This record gives sequence, structure tokens and C-alpha cells, in this order.
Amino acid sequence: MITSTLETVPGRMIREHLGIVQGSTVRAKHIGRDLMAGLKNIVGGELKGYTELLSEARDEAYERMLQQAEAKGANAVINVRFSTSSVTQGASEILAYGSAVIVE
Amino acid sequence: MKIRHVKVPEGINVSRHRPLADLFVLTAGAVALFAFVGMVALLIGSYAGRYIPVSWENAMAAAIFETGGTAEPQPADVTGLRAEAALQALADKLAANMELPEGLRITVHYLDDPEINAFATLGGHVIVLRGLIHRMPDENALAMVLGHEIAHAANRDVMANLGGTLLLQLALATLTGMSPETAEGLVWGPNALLLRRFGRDAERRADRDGLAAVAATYGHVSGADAFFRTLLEEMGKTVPEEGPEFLSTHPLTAGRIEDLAALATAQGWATGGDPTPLPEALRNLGGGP
Amino acid sequence: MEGFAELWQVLFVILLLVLAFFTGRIAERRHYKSIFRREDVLADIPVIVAKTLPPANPAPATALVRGNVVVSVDYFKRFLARLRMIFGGRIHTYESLLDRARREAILRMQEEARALGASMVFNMRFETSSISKGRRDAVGTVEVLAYGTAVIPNE
Repeated sequence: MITSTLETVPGRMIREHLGIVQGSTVRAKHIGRDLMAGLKNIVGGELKGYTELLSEARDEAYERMLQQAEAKGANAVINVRFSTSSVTQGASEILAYGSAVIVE
Repeated sequence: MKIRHVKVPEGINVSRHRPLADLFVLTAGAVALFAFVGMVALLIGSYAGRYIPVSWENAMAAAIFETGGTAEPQPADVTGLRAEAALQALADKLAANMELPEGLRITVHYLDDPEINAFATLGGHVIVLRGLIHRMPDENALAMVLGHEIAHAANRDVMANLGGTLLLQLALATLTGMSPETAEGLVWGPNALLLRRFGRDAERRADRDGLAAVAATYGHVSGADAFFRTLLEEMGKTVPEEGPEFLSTHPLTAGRIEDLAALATAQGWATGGDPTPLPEALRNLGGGP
Repeated sequence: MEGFAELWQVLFVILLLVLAFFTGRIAERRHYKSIFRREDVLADIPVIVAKTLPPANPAPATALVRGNVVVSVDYFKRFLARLRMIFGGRIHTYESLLDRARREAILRMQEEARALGASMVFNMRFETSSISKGRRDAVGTVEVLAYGTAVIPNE
């Protein structure tokens, strides 16, 4: 599956548009990470726990988007965008969406 | 360029899950986690509380009791003063047969109140209410109550309770600060039960130590359980009904009577004997408001 | 009697949970049914996340269209989510909330496009935000906005 944040896949012609595909996941941190984050807020620096958490969540959202694209029969997803929003304090939703297309 | 609509199958972004199983597992997990943290906090706090030096406890009590005397119950009239002196004499008699930690003095206060109650606070201060004295048939019964309260002071139960609840509140406040709101009920509920359990154990120990003091002072334990019998009689009237034991700060009264009898048998203390009458100053104090 | 007040509180929460479990399921099912139905009806207005329009002569008219919705979860789902947040991990109960919200927003955008006589919507984007963020107990209310350019063929 080819993915691109561009309008096109360079060098390939878009034969068919299949519509929007989206993948999302909602993840929460646990109390342990909160504690470490609290300490880091005093010391400063990268909150590795949260970085990992959001990283994993983004991977999962991305995978789900690709799953939808496959289900549609596409072989590429263009104009991929990521969006993060906080659903509630302590939980974030990661959304990955794009346009499923068939390129030759 | 062609544009074609293709339906996406369900279930990619919304995974199947069993909400009820989830609820059960998560609730059990949360309760277990919080109860564990609470238990550890209570144990450490109580243990530490008992090891705080008596001098510090006395200093704390002084700060509360002797500043302007508003907290310290001062008998208003001669009857009250005499009663307090008689109580102090009885307490000293009992304390001579009990092991008190170094530096701890028992100071008894008389409170002119119709409630049937007595309690021990910081620094060896014990407060006895008129309502209770009125219901005591003889000195032995009163001695059991006083002995129980002195035992609380001697066992440093008050400090243990202080340390335990303090650390528990600290630990649980940290937990609730970090976890979302619902969990508060789950955090405090099981730990409130744990706290009660700790309290009941301390009460049982105080009962045992009090009875031992009575046996040592009078040579027998006849009439020592009069207070508990009175409680049983008054239940539903001037004293509230008892709920189930696991919710209660004290063991069930009937159970306490049984335990005292069993202890007397096990220790071979005489259960028959002549009761000593109440001192003059403690008779006819009246039970009304 | 000591302690019974706490027991009543627990019972009350359990009652609410049971109530919310059933009403929440019913509400969600109804919403999904409505979503499925309208998705079929509006299937002829494709939504494309791309900027380049297919060339056409004469050039078509365009209009900004959008659809937004605020969706909330029931007490049962909320309770479950909060428990989950102690231990971390995927919050299943919100997945359906956001899925519904996004699809509803797209549908409303398509309905607006249909009203204008459009044949498709291009360059669609999403905006998701949580309502009453910042209060610790305001959980599970989300607004999703879908907006794009409707292409109205000149016929």
C-alpha cells in the first residue's frame, strides 16, 4: 500500500478515486505514567512515556486507515493527514485520514 | 479520472468488546489496587505512629488541651470537681497495675453530659461522661471502662490511629488526584472498611488489657462487663442500634462480652467476688440532661 | 447505623450504571441505524480528500460545505472509560462515540452539498474537539466538524 501526503503519487497516474478512508484510536495513559510525568514536570525534558503512548496510538490509527483502504480495494492512499484531539483529560484520540485511490 | 463509492466494512475503527466483562475486570482490578495501597499506607502509618516519642504526644496534647482551657472540660461546680478527683484516684489505682510507657501520665476529666460514653485522647487524657457513671452499679464496672481507656493510651492507639489515617489520606489523595473522578468511590470505600478493621482490633486489645488491670486491682473480674450489658439494654433506646460488624468501628457488643468471659476463663481469673461500691463522690450524679 | 450511607451511595451508582447501560445501547443502535441508512442514500456524493479537481469544461461552481455534530456518551460508558484510564490502554467505549460523530458530520456535510445540487465534495478536512475540557469530570462529549468544497456541475 502506497501512502503519500501529496496530492499525487509522483510518476503514477491516479485511475480511480474510492473515497475517504479513516483510522482512529482512543488511548489513555495510566496512573504510573502520570506519576512520571509529574516528576518530569519538575525536572524538565522529554516525557518518554507519553511519546511512546502517542506513537503507538498513531501507528494503530495509521494501520486502521490502511485496513479500510485495503477493504475498498485501493492500492494507494493520498493526502494523508493526522489529527490529535484530547477527548477528555487523560485520553487522546488519534485520527489518520486520506483518500483511497487506485494508481496504475 | 473515475470516482467510485465503495462501502467500508464495519469493525475497523470500532473493535468488538464485551463491556460487562470489561467492567467487572476493571472494577476488581481498581479495588484491589487501591485497597493494596491503602493497606500499606495504614500499616506504615500506624506502626510509625506508635513509635513517636511520648514527649511529642504530650506536647501535641498540651497544645490542644491547655491553651486557654476551652478544649479541656472543666467541671463547673464542687460536685464535678469531687467526681473528677475520685475518677483520677481510681485511674491511678488501675494504672499502677498496668504497663505505661515512660513519660505517659493518665489525666482523667469529668464531663457533665448525659451520654453513656468515655474516651481516650492524646497525651493520656481520658474523658468520662456523667451518663456512663450513672449507669455503673459498682466500682468494678467503672474500673473496666477506665481500664479500657487507659489501655488505649498505654498501647499508643490514639497515635497509631492518627498516623495511620494521616498516611492513608495522603496516599489516597495522591491516587485520586491522579485517577479520574469515578474512582474516588472505589478508592475510599474499601479503605474505609480497612480502617474500621484496624479500629476493631485495637478495641479488642484494649478490652483484654482493661480486664487484666481489673483482675490485678480487685483480685476478681465480677461485674466487669456491666458497661457492655448496659449498652445491650440501651440499644434502640438511648444508644443507636448496631449495624453489621464489618461496617462498625467497634466489635459487636455481645461478642465483646463473650470474649471477656473467655479471657477470664483462660487466665484463670476469679469471676465471683464482692463488688466494691462506687466512691461517694461518684454516686447519685443523676442520668438526666 | 454506621456505614450505611456509603452502601446507599454504592447502590445508587450501580442503579445508574444499569440504567445507562440499556439506554446507552438503545441510543447508540438507533444512531447507527440512521447512519447506515443515510450513508446508502448519500453514496452518490463521494467525499474526496484531495485538492485537484478533475478537469471539466465549463468550470463547475463551488461552495464551502460543512457538517458538525456534538455527541456524548452515556454514564455506563463514561464509568468504564474512567476505570480504563487508571490502567491505560485502548478506550473501547469512546471508539464508537468518535466513529459515530465523524460519520454523522460527514453525512451532514453531504446533505448540505446535496441541497446545493453538488455532485461531490473535495478537499474534506476534519476538526475534532472535546467539549468542556478542563473539568476533570466532564468526560466524553466531543464535537466533530467536517468541512470541504462542494463541486456543483454546470448543467
